[in-house]
Amino acid sequence: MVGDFDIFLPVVWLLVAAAIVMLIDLFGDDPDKTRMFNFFTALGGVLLAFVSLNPYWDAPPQTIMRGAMLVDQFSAFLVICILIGTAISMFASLSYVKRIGVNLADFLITLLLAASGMVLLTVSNDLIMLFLSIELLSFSVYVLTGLHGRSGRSAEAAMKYFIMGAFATGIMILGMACLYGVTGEVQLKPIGEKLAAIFAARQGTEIMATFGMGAILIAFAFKVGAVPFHSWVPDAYEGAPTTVTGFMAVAVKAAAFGALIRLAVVAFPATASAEGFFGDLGFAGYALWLLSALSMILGNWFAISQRNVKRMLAYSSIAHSGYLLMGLAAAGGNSEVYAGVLYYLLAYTLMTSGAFAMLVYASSGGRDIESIDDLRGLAWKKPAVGIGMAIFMFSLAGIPLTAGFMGKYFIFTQTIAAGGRYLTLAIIGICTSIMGAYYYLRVIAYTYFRDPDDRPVAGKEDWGLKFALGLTVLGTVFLGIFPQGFYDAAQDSVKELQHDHERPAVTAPDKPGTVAHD
Amino acid sequence: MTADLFGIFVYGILIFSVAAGGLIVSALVGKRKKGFVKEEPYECGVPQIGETRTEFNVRFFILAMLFVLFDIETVLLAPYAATFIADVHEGKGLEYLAEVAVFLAVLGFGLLYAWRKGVLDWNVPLGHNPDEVVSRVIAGEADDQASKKPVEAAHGH
Repeated sequence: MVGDFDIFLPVVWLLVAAAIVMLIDLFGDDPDKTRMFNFFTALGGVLLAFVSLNPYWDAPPQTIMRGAMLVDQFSAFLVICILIGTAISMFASLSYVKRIGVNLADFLITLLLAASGMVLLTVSNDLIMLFLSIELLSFSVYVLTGLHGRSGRSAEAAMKYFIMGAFATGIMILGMACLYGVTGEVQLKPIGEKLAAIFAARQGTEIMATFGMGAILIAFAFKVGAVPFHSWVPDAYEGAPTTVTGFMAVAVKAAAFGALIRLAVVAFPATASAEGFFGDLGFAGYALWLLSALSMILGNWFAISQRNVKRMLAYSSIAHSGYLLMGLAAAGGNSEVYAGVLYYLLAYTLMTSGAFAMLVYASSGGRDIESIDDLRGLAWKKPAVGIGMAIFMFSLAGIPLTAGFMGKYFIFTQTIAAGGRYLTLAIIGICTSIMGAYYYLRVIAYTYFRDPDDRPVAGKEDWGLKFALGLTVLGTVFLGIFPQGFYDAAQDSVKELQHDHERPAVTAPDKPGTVAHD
Repeated sequence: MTADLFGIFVYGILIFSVAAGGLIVSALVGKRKKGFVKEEPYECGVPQIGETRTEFNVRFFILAMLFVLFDIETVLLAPYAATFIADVHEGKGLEYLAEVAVFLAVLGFGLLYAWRKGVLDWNVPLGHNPDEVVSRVIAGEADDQASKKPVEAAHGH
């Protein structure tokens, strides 16, 4: 089935769902009547995409679309993270988008398109596919950010994000042009081989290759919001509708980190040096180190002074990018570390989208949670808010028995094991997570230990939001108590990464005369 | 190496001296007559009218986007046909037709969306259902819509 059509089914299901929702929205009479049908169509698309991942799980990697895409368990793991983030965002938005006056169908279409871009990004195996899928996801997320068109802040956030994102895209295409210029290849594997030869020969072209890799790294650092390319993050996260912010924080990050890891392992060669990934390229190796250290320090530092909860979570997401980049920096060709990064991404998906969904839940009933003061004593009026918020904040802070702790544990132990300058990085990471605990625990302190104000809290909460919260709370706790199964899955996923990627699909060999990449 | 670059250096000096020389000579030798026309940004052209920063109806931008839609279609279809003609002769025409049909269907969805959202109809306010507006016009309620429209257009809606 899969090989016959030479296509990647999860993307197809997402796009088909988007198309159906669009048709219903365009030709249906009353948006209120078709609302639930649209929602379940979109949800069905996500579920079918999830189910259709099955053949790629535990299977050897296969290239499809004449090598433009490479499907393996690594991409399947990331797609799961992305689909979870998408589904939670959909559930949480069910009544939220209506409250802010946005057409649910518009939201669902854009969300599904963004998700399909992300899914494509995780399977991209050449530079063109990489670029196109990044564009698909970026454009959709720009639109999602500005979906709340009547709010000035939302429009401003979308504009800022769009302009900065366009620059980052320009830098990325420049870097890709440089890589194509020195190697003459677009597929990742041949690029990796040629780059290795170039760095071994050292005839001057390695400068351009380093520049190209650096430019691509900068663009990805922008997408994941690493310092010093983070300036869009607080504004975009604050301005975007809250459920969109959750989606941006988790799914964009999962997709971008997935593509970055694939680039790092396959295209950017581990050269003669023992240090591996970027190791021989002192500049780029230190660049990752520096990106990670700056993101951890500045993200946590700025988060402390934030009174606005969404801005605080935005800076916290910058800090989490730092932790993930630390794993990448320390990997050095050791796939164990990437397993830690994958596990952390899954944990991060659950706890962060949960935290944003909790903000939506807490602000139902006409009480918009903007400042941390709005959370005063809310735990006593809405016990679910107190418990849920506490679990997410404990997890984000990295307190044991939560997913966040296990994620940090895996990344930190492996970074420490890498030794050398990565030991310093790990120490910076540990110190900054202690800093981070202050502002996460402050949220809990406000919900429990401050006197509640007398504003109303009652409101009609819909089942979608409750379902999203239940799922994320359970997931966060479950991943914290029983991490082993998920960690093993992550390890299996990265195992194939460094193996030979050139195995063609079982049933669909490359057609002669149509190979266009040379 | 240095000898090669020396030529470029001389070339640069020549460029600079020609450009600067013209300005310097005209500043030293030329006469100056100030007047209204001389002070205009574009001395010899159409006279300026109004402000430079005006608002355009957002429809122009949306139509421009639609133009890009079909532009891309042409840009892709021509090389697509040219590249795969050999395979078509081998009898794979149907397969390639199906592939390009998917592409056209995706573009068609874009056009469909624009059409149903009332982009193609200049008189329907953006974000309104064209059918509703048309039925309202038929029912004779067009007046308030027509009087509202310039204001909406000026604010970019």
